Amino acid sequence: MAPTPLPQTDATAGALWIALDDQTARLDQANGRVEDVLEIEQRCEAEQAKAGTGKPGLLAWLKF
Amino acid sequence: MLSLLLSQWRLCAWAGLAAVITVLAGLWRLEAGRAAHLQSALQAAQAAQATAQAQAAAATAAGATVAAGAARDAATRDTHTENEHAIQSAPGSGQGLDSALNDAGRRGLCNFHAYQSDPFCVQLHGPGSGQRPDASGADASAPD
Repeated sequence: MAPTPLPQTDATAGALWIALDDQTARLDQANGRVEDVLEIEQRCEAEQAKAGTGKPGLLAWLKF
Repeated sequence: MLSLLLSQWRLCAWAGLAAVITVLAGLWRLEAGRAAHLQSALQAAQAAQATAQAQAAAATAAGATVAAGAARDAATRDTHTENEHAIQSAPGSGQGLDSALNDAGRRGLCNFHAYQSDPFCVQLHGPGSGQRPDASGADASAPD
């Protein structure tokens, strides 16, 4: 995610606070992306485990 | 003579019985193999179906997560917009700052990777200089 644009050389006090606010908003968004990716990955692993066919039975070799 | 015929008959009977048993065993083995093949195919089909269902469920969940993320991002931007208006309308918002202070802040930000492509920072450090944070904000390559 791109950072907040660099404040101008003649930036006012308000401009700096706005830049800080914008940077924080972007940080929240970036952190949200990480949480989303982890959630998707964990859900995917859970579904994969649920769909697992399991190991062959102990007496599987007896099959003709 | 009768004994010879009886002996031959017994021999034929045994041979016939053996042949029947062999044929039956072969058929049974064939049928068992076919059953095993069918069972294996069934298991493969069930596994494929389970995988497809899992993929569909995971895709649906991922879609919901992405949608929720987009809604969350929109709410975050809305919050920032509200904050921006509040800051702009607050007393002292338009107060100017010492240009040296702004310059120091800009130079400091240029030390972060996130700003390495910013035109000011490129001019300051040069392209791809890979500068790391410097508490003083001073830079040897910075023009005075």
